Amino acid sequence: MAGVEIREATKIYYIKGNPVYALSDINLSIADGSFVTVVGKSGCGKSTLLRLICGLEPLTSGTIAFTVDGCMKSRSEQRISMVFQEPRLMPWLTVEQNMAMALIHEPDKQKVKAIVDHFLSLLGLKRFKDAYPRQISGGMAQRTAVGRTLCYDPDLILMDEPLGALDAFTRRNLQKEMVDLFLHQRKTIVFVTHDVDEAVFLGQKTVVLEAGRVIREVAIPLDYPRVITDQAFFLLREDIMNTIMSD
Amino acid sequence: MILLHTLCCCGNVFPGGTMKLIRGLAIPVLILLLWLYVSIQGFFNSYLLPSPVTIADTMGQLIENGLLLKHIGISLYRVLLGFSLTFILAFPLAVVLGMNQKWNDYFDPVLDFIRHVPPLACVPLLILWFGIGEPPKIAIIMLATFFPVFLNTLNGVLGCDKKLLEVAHVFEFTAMDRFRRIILPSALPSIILGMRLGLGYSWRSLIGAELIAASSGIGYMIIDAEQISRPDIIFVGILTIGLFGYCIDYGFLKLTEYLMPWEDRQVDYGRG
Repeated sequence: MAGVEIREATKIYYIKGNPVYALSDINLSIADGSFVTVVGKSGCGKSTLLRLICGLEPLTSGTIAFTVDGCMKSRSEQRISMVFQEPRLMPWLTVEQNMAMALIHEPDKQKVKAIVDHFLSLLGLKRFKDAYPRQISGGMAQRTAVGRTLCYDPDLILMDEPLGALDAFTRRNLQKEMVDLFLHQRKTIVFVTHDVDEAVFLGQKTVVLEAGRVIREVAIPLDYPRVITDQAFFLLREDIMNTIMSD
Repeated sequence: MILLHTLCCCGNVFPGGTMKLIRGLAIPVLILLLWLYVSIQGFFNSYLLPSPVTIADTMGQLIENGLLLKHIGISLYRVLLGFSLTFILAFPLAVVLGMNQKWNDYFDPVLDFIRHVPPLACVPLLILWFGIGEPPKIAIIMLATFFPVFLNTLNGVLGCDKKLLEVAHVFEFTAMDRFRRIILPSALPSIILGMRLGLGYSWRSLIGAELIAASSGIGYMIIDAEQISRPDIIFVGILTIGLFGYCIDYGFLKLTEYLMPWEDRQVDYGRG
């Protein structure tokens, strides 16, 4: 597990020489072993935030530090993995091979097989392990991407709207699987979504972003598994929705 | 042919593969029958257009006395040697330039210049330098084959999906792992396309080179037949080239299917 400390993080993109602030002076603490969801309108900087934490892009200014048991660690000392909006599976690898690619540095092939088998079973993909990505549904592909991340055994999992492109039924099932995985694995998870229901259903804390700034952090003190028809769930959802809509 | 097409479409008389074969043979058979008819009727002088029967006879004789196989063997050797040498040069250069784009500024002007020079334009110079032995023929093949292999490999490497490379970054792949596990498989269709085009260009340029300066090979056999007024041998030469080109291409299609099992369909680059 790993926590994240983000201090005065700013990211500027230049479009035709003009600066565009994707993130402005973000300050955010993500505790070890917590499930944090990030919501906001399109273009508010949600995905940029994850890409910066993952190290896929450099910060313009500010710092992102990682904490393990209260000690500061650098990015290179962390195992961080990311599940993208689209599964990003290698078309030339089977489901099983796609998951095993996360363990490329593991020399013990038996161990790799055991780990992959474990997550294939956990995610209900055992029957499809020899299928290529084009032969499986979007939901299975996204589960494979999640499985690949879990095989990597990261300290921190970043998820960038991983369920955004799925139908409502598959999405609901995968949300439940996410909660189960979190409860079993107890990894630190940062989950970006534009769906407030999903944010409240999954997260222990929801961060609301607006125009590259954190405008609110809302604790979600509900027990898992959550029921979306509960009064408390409804009130929290309305509260967050109002925050987003009021800006 | 319309009758044949109607038969093939209306009734599932033949399985898919056989039907495809029948469709593919329809036009050649039609041409052959027309040719035979024209020859029997004597519409053209047999010196200009020998009958298919004469050509088949000549082919039989050339196979029997071993001349055809000798010429094919020599031409094949030249093609394979020239193509292999080209691949050894073009493939690594394309990979290195594709993965290190800052070097492109150095190589672009030179490569662009050479690309625009037709290989056959270099024949006189190559004969001057190397005589009429094997080296100029191999050099011509290399010049003709280099760019299809190089440019397609380069495009394959450059076209690698950046999103997949980000996945490699997340899982801390080394540069070699990135190449072996992501870039190479992703570029494989382009690489095979380049090889197929390159082999086709090899044949064309080789025959050109053999027509100009050679004492063996299919190209030589054709030009020699012209000088001894044997159009039937010319036809045998042309048919042999076409047949070999087709066989090599078919081999590549099978290789593609074997190397890329994740592709559902038969890969038919450049044919669509």
